[in-house]
Amino acid sequence: MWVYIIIGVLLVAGIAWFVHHQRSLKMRAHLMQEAIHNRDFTFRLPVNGLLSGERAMQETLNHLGDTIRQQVNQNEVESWERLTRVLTHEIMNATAPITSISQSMLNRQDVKDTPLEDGIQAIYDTSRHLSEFVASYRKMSELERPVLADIQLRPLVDDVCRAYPELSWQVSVPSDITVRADAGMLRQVLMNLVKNAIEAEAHKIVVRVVDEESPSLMLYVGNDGLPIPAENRQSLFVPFFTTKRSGSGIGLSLSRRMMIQQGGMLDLTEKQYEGCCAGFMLTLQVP
Amino acid sequence: MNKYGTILIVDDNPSILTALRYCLDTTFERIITLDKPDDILKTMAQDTIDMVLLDMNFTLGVNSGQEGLLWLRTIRKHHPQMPVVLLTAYADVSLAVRGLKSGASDFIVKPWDNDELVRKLKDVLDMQGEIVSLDEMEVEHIRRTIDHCHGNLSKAAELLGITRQTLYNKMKRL
Repeated sequence: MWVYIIIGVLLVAGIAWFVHHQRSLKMRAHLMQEAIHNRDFTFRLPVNGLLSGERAMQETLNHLGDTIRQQVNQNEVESWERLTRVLTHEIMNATAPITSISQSMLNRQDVKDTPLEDGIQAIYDTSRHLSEFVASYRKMSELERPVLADIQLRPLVDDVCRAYPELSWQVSVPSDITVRADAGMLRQVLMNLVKNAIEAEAHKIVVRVVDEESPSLMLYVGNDGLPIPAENRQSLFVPFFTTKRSGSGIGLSLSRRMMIQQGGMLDLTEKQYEGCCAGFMLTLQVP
Repeated sequence: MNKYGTILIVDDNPSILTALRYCLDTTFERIITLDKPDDILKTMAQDTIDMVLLDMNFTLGVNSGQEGLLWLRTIRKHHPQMPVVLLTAYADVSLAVRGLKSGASDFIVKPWDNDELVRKLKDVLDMQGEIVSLDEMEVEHIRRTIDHCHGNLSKAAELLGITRQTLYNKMKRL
């Protein structure tokens, strides 16, 4: 008799747990669907409270999200590159006659010292300025192929620290960490992030290795400068996008490209460490 | 003012042709423009041309410059002495170098500076008219042959069809 009651209670409890568990699984699916719907593929849902099979499944999905995000970013960079190549070519071809004709006209006797001169001079200066801008962009974006080698991360970070003694540095990078990267490019990316931080009025830079379940090494570089406004976050890595008066808008897009070329990635992070207001995550290949 | 004869300009962009006509009309006596490269040889057969200014890209969307190189070789084949200056898109140095190797006299990068363009074209034509003495030719030829053989004098002498001793004697005069 008691045995039946116990079995009955266990059965009811089991069914209740089962229903509850299914509901929480549905909730996860719903969350991930929402994330995908918002084109955010970074769902890192926790794996506790799951059965081993489900845990494996969730881990795979988390990882898949990472891969999709990286792929999307990489495609974006590559299509920008193609577009830039075509655009610069077309712009240069289009400015050539404008520059040349206005220059010829400036040399004409019937133009000199007339009201026409100022206008034509403005046309000439503007087209010259445009082609110089495009030229400098081309120069910076024409990167050399990276030479990947196993490099010690700590000395490289220390190098960058020494270049900016006016900042206070908090570096937590173990000295035995080796990454597979192009030392010059990686240094350039770090310096670029530091320069941006200084322009955002930062006084402190935090560099730390972040523990994450990932086959790559995650390096956080954050600062206590002005936070990045939400409306700018989407466009941050788009070439020519800038919020600075004198900026060209190529620093971050170029840095991301350099990271991709080294088999890594550069992202903005949501989560900040040690009192930082803005931070970036570098994904680095490990040997 | 000393004018520089007839120049043939080939570019598929009419604005570039206008710009060049505008820029060069005080330097050249006559400017012939073509917007299609197919008529180059016909025009060169009909008129006396002193130099050709040739664009590298003609097909829309194709920026490889192969077409320009092809036309350059065609011109050089039919008129080996004709100076050809190439108009190349920005940041295409490797293409320009290939053009020079295929016999172009110089290259101009778009967008150009008018004064520099005129100076380059004049230089090419001035060089063309220069008569080099036989001795100078010989010295230059020997130098190039030795370079070609990476300094191996026996091989250079063999290629030049003279004995090693003769080559030595000639080199003493360099």
